[in-house]
Amino acid sequence: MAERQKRGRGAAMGGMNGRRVSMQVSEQDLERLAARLGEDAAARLDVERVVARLGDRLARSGGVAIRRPVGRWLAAAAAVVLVAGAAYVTFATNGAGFPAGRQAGLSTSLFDLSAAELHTVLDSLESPAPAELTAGPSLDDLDAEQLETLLALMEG
Amino acid sequence: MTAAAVFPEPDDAALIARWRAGDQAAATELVRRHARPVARFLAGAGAGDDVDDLVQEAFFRAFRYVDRFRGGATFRTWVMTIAGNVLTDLRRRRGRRPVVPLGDHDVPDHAADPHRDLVERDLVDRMQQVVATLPPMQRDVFLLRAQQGLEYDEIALALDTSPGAARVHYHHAVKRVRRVMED
Repeated sequence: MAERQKRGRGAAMGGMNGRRVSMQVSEQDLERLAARLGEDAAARLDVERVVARLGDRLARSGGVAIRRPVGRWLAAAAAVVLVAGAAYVTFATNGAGFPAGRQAGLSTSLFDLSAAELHTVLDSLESPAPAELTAGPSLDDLDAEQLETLLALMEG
Repeated sequence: MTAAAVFPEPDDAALIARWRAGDQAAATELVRRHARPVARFLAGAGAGDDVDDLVQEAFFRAFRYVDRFRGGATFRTWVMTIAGNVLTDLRRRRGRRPVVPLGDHDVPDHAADPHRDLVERDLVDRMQQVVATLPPMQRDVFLLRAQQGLEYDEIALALDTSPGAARVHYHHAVKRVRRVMED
């Protein structure tokens, strides 16, 4: 304790008359000095001015932001990618090829779609997925090699 | 019996609920309660002349996105972490190192020992210079711990990290602050 006090005094001597004296800064000194950080700026803050300006901004912005269910949309989009990718891998690795008319659709990556097109895809999820899509293979149906291929495909 | 005893002030949670319901006066009360500590946090982080604007921006984001406040940390601590992010964003946009003004102090007349007070202010300036250069996580942990006196578990909740990681960040920050101050 005596050593801490001694070191505390040592720290207080630093910087006298513009000189920078080499010193030891104890934990106690550090916390005492840190507690004073920003005290002048806090004292100068015009709280009522902040209140007034903030009030204007909040009134203009309409209050609490409405949270969009981003998580649900992302999950839906991810599900589309996974199902389409799984179907692609299954057909590709089984060598069975794609049913007519399906290949072109699957070869178009969701990443190539515009925002408006993505919205259209997501909107379509409001209704139950088409039977031919839900009847496709799930991830559980894939073996390790197929899963690896799927991951590689998703990572580009 | 005082008026305060009859009508106790609503706590932060009650004010937040009122703000969510559209009561702007509740937001005003929260700002009056916490603006100065948030300003102190920002100034400690090296916000300089931007403190007023950053306090406003931090509260604006807090009120707009109040649904993200989980209640694990206190509202004040949560706003401080937003303030830290706002400051980091500002520096990134400006693309420059922080500039902390020196010697901008009002020496209080009531200081018990004005000379000692001046010396300490010099040390506080030096500390502020180095704190402003810390990586954001270290800076925020250091200020929440050393300036605001929070425990590691509270800091961890506020910064979405673990108490152990908060302790490590604090350790690194202290090491760096000490190195500069003892130089």
